[in-house]
Amino acid sequence: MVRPLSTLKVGEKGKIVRLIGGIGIIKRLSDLGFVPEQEVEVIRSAPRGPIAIKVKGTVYALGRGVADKIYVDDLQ
Amino acid sequence: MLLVEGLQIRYMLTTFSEKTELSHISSREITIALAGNPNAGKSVVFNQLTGGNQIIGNWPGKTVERTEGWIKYRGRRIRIVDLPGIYSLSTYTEEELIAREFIISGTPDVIINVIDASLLERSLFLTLQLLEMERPLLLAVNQLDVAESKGLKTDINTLSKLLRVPAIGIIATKGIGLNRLLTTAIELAEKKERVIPPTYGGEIEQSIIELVKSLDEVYPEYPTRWLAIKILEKDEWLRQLNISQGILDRAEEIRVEIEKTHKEPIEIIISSERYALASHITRNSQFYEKKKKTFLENLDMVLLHPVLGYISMLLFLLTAFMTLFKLGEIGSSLLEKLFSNLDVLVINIPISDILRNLLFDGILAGFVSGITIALPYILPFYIFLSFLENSGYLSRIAFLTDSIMHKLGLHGKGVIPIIMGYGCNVPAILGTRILESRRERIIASFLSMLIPCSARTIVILGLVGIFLGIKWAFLIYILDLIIIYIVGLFMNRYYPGETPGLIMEVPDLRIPVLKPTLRQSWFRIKEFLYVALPYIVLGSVLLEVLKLLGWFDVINKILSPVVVDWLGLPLITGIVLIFGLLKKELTLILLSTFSGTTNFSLILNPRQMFVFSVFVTLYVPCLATIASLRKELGRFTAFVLVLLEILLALLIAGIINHLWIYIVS
Ligand SMILES: Nc1nc2c(ncn2[C@@H]2O[C@H](COP(=O)(O)OP(=O)(O)OP(=O)(O)O)[C@@H](O)[C@H]2O)c(=O)[nH]1
Ligand SMILES: [Mg+2]
Repeated sequence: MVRPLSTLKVGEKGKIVRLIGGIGIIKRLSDLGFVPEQEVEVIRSAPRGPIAIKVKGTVYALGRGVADKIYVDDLQ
Repeated sequence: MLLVEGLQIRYMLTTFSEKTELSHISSREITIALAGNPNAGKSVVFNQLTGGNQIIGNWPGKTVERTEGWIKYRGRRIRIVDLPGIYSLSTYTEEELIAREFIISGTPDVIINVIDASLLERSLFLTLQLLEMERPLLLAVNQLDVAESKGLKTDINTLSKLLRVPAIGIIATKGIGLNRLLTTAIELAEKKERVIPPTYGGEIEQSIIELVKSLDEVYPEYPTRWLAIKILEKDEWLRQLNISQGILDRAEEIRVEIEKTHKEPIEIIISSERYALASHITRNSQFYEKKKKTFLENLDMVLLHPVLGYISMLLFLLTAFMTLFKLGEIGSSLLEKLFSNLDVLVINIPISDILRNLLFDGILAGFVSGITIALPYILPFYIFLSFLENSGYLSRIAFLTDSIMHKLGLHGKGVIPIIMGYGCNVPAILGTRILESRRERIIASFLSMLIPCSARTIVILGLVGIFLGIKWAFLIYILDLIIIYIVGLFMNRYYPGETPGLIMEVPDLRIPVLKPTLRQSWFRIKEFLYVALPYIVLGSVLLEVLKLLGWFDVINKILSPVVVDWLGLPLITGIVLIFGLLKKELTLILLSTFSGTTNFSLILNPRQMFVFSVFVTLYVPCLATIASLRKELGRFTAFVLVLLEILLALLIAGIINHLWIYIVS
């Protein structure tokens, strides 16, 4: 099921399908490795706060608004 | 030790020629630029090579300025340039712009791309872009010890072959591999071979080739392939080149076509291509052996926990506060005993009374107060700060405070310069360069200025902490945080603009390596001993001179409506507060040299101690802070912020003075 990254629970994994939003933020995210087909894992998620995501071995903190812009699908 | 030596042998193998033939080298100067991701270890390499004292720490974005160091190597001068870390050659913040400008237009003879071996794939994303620039490039594969501990084995030979540039394995913190790095860099700079840029896959490669054809020989100073990619990416940097409309139109056609087939913006397609290549190279040159979760990884889950995280943060900060205060108290009384008999040195010298006064009350008293009052607090504090920086805990605090910071018009990253403000406001204001917008930088600068730096900590702990008790000192810190919160709320509300979302790397927790951590504290202490202490001594002498000239009372008279009537402080504090503009710790130290005692209860009552400390905490930034404000934000903004701060301090300290009877009863 395709859904925003922000809705994943701690420990859940997904595969990025799409980034939405302005080109600035999309570019910044894709520079960091948030590109389509990439696997991501939620490490920590504070209610209404930021979430910590692991991508290519690095953990990033993303504000909730930013995480809403990344759409993920289940891993096969 | 064994592990280290093993690494050394294994990783020092490189594909590059073993002979370092340097005899033919002319005496031309060479510029070496250190480029790489934030936190890769560039500044450690820089410090090791040049003996410099760049701030190092375990969070992304410490180096925010281009820093140069010179070394002599076999009789020739070599310029080494430490740059802010960048994830890609596209830029979003000020510090990234600085790094990119230098890489593109600063014409370094050779770029050393420092990468973190434990984050190989992400690092190679930038490496590929650097290769596109076709400048001599040397890969410094750093942090091999960290990679090893994570179960990652790096085959540097293969890495070098796949990238077609020399690569050298190093462990910067231990100095391993650095000699070789330097000789190889010099060798490369001499050869001036252009590197071969990477080729990507699919339609992107086709369109690059197509554009390269029409660009050929138009801009000889830039590599054409790189320009073609920049044109496809519609990079803002291109504006300064005046590229012909024909080429831009052709690029637009290609872009539209590609975006139609991929249903994605071209920027993402290009990033994906680069990552595909980076991932391919990583898979072939690094091997992973699963390791058990380490203690630090488990600890991290607690530190980032939505409930436990906050509890541990508060506990941590509280413990730190108590410990630092206790250590300061003990150290201060020890030093005082040590220095208490020093007067005999001066009393028996046969000189005139005026000179004796200058010597004793001025120089000696200033020196002794400087040492006994200031050093015991700042020494443990600097060690603590260095530990905080190098452990990686700062980024956790940024994560935890993101929601609160949003109320103040900042995001979590904004807390980092603010915390740095506890050490010194100057790096804090420079550090706001890691923030995305000018609005955020102004808010964060103002809030950092309200943070009691180590100089003000000396006043708060040395005065209120010692004479009124630690609870009162603690109260000042809490009060300060409340003021900052309210000021932030106001600024967010009345300063139009919105806060961008948080995007920040959270580096792994680390046990700080002892030597660089202590070295860093030492450099800060040295700054105190060599810069602040002379000021303090000079200040006390000046104070004595003013006293002898009889100007003292005149100045104090002028200030008396504010100092005495509004703030309720004794007359002599007026002049002391003026000296505080130079260095905040001067306020307390001069008070002590002036009254000839470190027992402040003889000259100030409890209310006055509290009001004095609050006022000193808030009143006006020191000259160095004002200078950096001006440099970073412009004269007008700096002026407004300083004025606002003075008004705020007068308001709050005055109110406390007048309400004191209600507070204590
Ligand atoms: N264990 C280990 N730690 C290292 C090594 N190299 C660097 N570090 C640590 O990594 C952290 C980052 O190093 P810096 O030199 O400050 O990184 P930088 O690349 O200058 O980062 P920015 O200035 O933020 O771009 C510090 O805490 C260093 O102590 C290494 O080889 N081994
Ligand atoms: Mg640095």
